[in-house]
Amino acid sequence: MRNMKTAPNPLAATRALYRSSRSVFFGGAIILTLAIMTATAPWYSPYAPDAMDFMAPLSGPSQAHFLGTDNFGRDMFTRVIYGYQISLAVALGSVGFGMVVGVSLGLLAGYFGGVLENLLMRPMDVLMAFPAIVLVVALTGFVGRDESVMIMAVAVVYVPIFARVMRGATLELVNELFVEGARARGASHLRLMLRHILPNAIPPVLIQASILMGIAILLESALSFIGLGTQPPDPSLGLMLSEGRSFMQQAPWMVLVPGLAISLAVLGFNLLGNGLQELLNPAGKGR
Amino acid sequence: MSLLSVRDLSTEFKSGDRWLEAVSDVAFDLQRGEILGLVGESGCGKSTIAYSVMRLLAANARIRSGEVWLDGLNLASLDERALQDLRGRQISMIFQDATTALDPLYTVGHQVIETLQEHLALDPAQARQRALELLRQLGIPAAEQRLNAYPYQFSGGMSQRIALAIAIACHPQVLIADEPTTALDVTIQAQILQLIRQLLVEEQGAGVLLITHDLGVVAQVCDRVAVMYAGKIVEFGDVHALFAQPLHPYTQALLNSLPSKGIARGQLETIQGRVPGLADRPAGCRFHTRCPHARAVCRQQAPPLQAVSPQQQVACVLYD
Repeated sequence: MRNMKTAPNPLAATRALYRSSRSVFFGGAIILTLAIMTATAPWYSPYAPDAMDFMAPLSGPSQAHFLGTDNFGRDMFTRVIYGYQISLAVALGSVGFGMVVGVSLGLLAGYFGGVLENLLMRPMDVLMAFPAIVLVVALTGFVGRDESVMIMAVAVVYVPIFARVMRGATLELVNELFVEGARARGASHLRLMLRHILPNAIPPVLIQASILMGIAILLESALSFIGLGTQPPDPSLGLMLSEGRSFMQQAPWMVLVPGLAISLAVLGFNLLGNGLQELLNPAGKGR
Repeated sequence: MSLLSVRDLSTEFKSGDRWLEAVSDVAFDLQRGEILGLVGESGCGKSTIAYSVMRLLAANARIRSGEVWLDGLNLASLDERALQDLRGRQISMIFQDATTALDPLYTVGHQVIETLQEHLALDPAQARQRALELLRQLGIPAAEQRLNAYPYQFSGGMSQRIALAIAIACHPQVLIADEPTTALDVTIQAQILQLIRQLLVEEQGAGVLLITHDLGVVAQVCDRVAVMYAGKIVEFGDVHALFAQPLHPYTQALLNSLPSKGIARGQLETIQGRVPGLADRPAGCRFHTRCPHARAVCRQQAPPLQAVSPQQQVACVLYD
């Protein structure tokens, strides 16, 4: 941490990061690359994601379509890139919402304790009792099928996870002498929570966020795969996987490409999360 | 009129479903411009008094009864809002481990300035200027650069200076110092104590409640001292009188157990037995189980603190 903070230039900082955690370095590199590719897709992708090439359906990798085409002749590479757009949007949105709500609840519960803590945390336990996929399927099935519903459904699953992490971190920090010291110099509850406890609790929350990003990508794919998420003809990795199933014999790239794409993104986030865990918590006491 | 007046303070801790008293009917006055020492072994309740006065008790502790008067306000019953305004402005506290008493994420300058702006109407430039002055006053070299340094870049002694700078930033009338020098080596300890005396007591006429288990520190800087045993004050008085002629058997034993300079080798004096825990404090005088002069009456009646001379009060039947 220290050498990163004082690193004089970006190159040295990158080198320092590579030395202190390869996991964070490679995970971060994967995610950064995917994010940049996704964000800039319209400028470089040779095709539109739903443009069909009727001359070349189910064609293998070639110069024109280097990851092949699907049964409608749509370019797989383009669809993967746009599929990542949806995956990453769902992941960012759900983790964002889940984090804001969960962290607030956990902070309040951990700081004030007592009745408020029970009031806030017991419903979280109830939510935690349901397996994520069941809860998400139920919510999307009930409310509707589009990206924003998916984001909210996954966020609902994430709120209790963030709340627990934050509550745990807060409980530890409330007893820290520097929090007591800030109280002794007249800091208000709000100030203690926002200026002293929250910033110090960021590391575990960040680790959790990274891991949950990966899981969100899986959940989005799973939902789209079973038809409760992204609807055709929009490109989603899960949906592509599902469409490719029927053509597995003739065009294995139709399942391999989205499958590997999902794996790559999840791998990136997991590497980042695990690496951060080691980097920010060298003693290795698991949370 | 005294500055801080503690009246019959009792503080208890929850253990299981019982409340155990850690501090029992403690009363003392802190005067303007004095350092009052509060000494006793670990667990005798001296820190609990400090936290009770600041109303910074842990969630499992509460003030059962008593009053703490500061400037016409009873801190023991004041609401949290008013307390927040008082803390840091009228009454401050420093702790034993200064390195962990500072937030690791902010520069020390930020933390000094934060306190100044919380309580005084200063614009950022003024606050920064004042913070710089404070650091200089406390003898921090290269204060300008050190303002931008993080707590981990400071040694224990330097951290305690910063903590002291924060504590005195708004000219408090009362400083509570909870073992402020226990974690420091002897030369640094003397410097910190000297700074407290000079900056707070002599220049500002503030009162300091110094909590310590080190009798050497008491002799060095305190004006008066309260000796505590098992949650009660057993002896109270002028430092010179008390050291010259300790009255309570516990104070005598405590002073006897100090290693003396002249004797090179030999058995160190100790007090027989051990401090009774919170749950099994004896009835009557709490020291009777370890007291060489214990009589039958000591088992039944807790002696009140009585003046033996104008400078000295003691809670012991030997002086009835």
